Amino acid sequence: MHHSHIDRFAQGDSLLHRLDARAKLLAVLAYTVVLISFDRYAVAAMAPMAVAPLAWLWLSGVPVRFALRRVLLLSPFILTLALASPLYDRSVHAAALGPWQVELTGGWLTAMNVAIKFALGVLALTAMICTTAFSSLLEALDRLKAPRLLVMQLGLLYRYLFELIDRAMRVRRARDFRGGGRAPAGRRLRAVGGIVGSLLAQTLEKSQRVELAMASRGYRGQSHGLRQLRAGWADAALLAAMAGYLLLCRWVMPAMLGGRESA
Amino acid sequence: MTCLLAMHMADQLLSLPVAGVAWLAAMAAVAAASRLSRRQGPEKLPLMGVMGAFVFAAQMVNFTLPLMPGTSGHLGGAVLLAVLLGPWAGIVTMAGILIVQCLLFQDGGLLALGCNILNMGVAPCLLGYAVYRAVLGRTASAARQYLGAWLACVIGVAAGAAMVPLESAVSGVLRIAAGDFLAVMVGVHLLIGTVEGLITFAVLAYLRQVHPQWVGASTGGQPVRLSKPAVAASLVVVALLLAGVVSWFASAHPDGLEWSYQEHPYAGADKPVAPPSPAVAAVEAFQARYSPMPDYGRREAPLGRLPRQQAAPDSSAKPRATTVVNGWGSLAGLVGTAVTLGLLYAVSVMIRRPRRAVRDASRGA
Amino acid sequence: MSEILSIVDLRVTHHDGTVALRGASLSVGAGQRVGLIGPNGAGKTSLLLAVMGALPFEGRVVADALALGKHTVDEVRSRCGMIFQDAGDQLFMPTLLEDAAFGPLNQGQDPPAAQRTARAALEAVGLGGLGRRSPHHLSAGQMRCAALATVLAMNVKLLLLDEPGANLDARGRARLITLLAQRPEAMLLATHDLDMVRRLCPRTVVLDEGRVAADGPTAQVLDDRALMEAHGLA
Repeated sequence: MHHSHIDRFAQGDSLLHRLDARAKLLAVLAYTVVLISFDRYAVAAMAPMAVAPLAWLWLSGVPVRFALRRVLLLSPFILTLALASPLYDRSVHAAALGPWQVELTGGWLTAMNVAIKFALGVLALTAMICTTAFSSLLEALDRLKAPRLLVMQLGLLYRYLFELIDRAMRVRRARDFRGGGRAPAGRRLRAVGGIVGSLLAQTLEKSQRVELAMASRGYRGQSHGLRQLRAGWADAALLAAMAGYLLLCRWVMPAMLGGRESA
Repeated sequence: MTCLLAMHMADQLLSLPVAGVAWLAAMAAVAAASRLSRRQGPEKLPLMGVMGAFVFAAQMVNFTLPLMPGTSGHLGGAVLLAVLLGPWAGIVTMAGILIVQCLLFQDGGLLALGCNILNMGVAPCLLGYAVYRAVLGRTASAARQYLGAWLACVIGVAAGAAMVPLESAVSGVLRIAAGDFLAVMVGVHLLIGTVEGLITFAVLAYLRQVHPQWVGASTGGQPVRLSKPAVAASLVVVALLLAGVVSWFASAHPDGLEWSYQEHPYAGADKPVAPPSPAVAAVEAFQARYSPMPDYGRREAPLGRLPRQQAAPDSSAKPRATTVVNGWGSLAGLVGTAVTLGLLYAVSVMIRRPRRAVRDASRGA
Repeated sequence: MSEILSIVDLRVTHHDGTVALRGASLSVGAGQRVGLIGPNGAGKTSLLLAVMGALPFEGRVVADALALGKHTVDEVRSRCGMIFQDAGDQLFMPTLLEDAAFGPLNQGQDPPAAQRTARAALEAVGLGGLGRRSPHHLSAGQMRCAALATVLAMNVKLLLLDEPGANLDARGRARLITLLAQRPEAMLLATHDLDMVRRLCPRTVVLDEGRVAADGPTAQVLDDRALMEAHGLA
């Protein structure tokens, strides 16, 4: 499963890995906000935005191919939606690159715009998550004042998620081996109910054992966490660099290069 | 994991103000739910965490929808969680699931997380739980429990799904007719909600037998079977609902709507093929007038078209492009980006080589 | 020698009516290692769970001079630590370090002290560099050692081990035995692994059908063929 790759990458050691999770989270958030703020007909203007995620991936040693594969995996839904816009937006725009000019409908520009925003957004998020241990992320959320119950629940969810997914996949495989995929709807539904039910029973029993384990180590509803995150100059530098970079991409460069008028 | 996208909101459909408001609303809701959940009683934390993992895993068991070949649905889980854990713990658990989906699996965008938490967590949990309790009444008999769970799923899932086109419409980013979008989403999700309701019912039946204390009801231990009349009745109700929704929107489009459900596992990702009609134009005019205008929103306004000038949307002459486009500027931007990337790549390779040598050396030692 | 655990006439009945223990009695001295063997269903796990205060019981359980009751459960749990049959059930934090620190933090240590304690515990079980790892990446043997670390970090006086050798390969088992042999804590070791009992425990208790059937020096008990066969152990 892809999760194991993400975990493996997140355990790496590069400049970016060592940065404070809070700074990285805020950086990615800022990036995403500015990315989405590009107007719907911007295509070439978004090119500089590709620098940040790619640089992040390269400098941290995470293979770009892996990140691109995630983009592809997740793309079908957004692409189908994007491809709907040429049907609705028939306004005509001129697009130009260098000496070439061509006329496109607004719908096609929007479609490309959406596709690019999607790809860059996923790349950025993947880059961040591949350079940040999940537990650090949780501590970041905690230090950023997220509800304690949510943070603890996220921790448990993460911990037991993969175990349960593996179990679910094994059960599904067992179903498929016995021709479950092609059974009539009624039987399939009942099988799904049964699979889900037995998974649920195992889950509930497990939760009782985990509850006991937690109680055996003194858990009474309060919770304390380790404080391992330490913000430093490098983190401030990251945020400053990201802010400068975003300013450059979004306002300075289009102004300098005299991009399109209110598109 | 991609089969999860049926109801997920995407960043690209949202405008920043809508995303921001949704985020704030979601944060407030989750914070409130956390507090309420703690106050309600004994700490259910292990149960919430493990159930969250369970719902996640169960979402991978997908089923093809009976009436629509090529589309598939899966368990959403919000209503099940609300029934088993209570609405507040349910909301926190669903929020956890969505956060993990967004961060670890990049399913659903970072900006859209607020919307997703509202659509797939807060709405179904609250609405579904309310419906469930309403049907349950005082007697809490098995039949009422099942009916309540099923109805809660149908309504909760459909309501959450309906919010997606509404949020898109208010954002005004992707120019798809809101009416079409809404009809597709609600229609498909009524069906998904029905199946989820049936699954939830099956799960509750199982629990009533094996672990009745989780379901909060005493049981005589009698096995309950999915009776054929009950299934038939629920399908009839759904069919009527679907027919009603579809016909309402169809009448607004005299040219008829052609649903093209391709062999695509992502329900709701359908491309409604319909020529622009007066109804669509009216919706677009509405959008243009009411879509918020943030500082940078000027550039989001339709090309040369202010609301007032939208008198004849299907006018004969296509407006000529009136913008001044600087082709050389765009090229310069692209070239500059490519050069920067090339430099960065070279730098990254140089940085990593000595480090790899160090690592190999230390491993050999 | 002071007693770290004293069980007198322990009776335990489960929710569904099955009787797990019908009056078992045994004691463990400070620093002593006692093996607990018996056929499946004998009540070994139930006995351990009862000592940890997880099951309602009748009889008397005294741990480190503290009688187990509704108000003393927490205190007893900070003096006895249980290693579960499925180590994964007790490794519930995203990383090992956080898991090991969980107990000390709940005992009132401040985060830096808890972190030191946790690190020391992980070192003691040979998992020193793995603090940042997540449990689902570990092998069965590593998980078992990690579970041990989480309990050792709480500075307990008695270890209750439920089938510690289960699912371990020969190497993992050997490593675990070496590790346990070095520990000063008292131990009650419930297991099917008779070889482990021979190597670690000078004394062995045989449990069958909820009652103690034999209690004596390990060699004597394990070599008594008739006894072993009578209780489904040979």
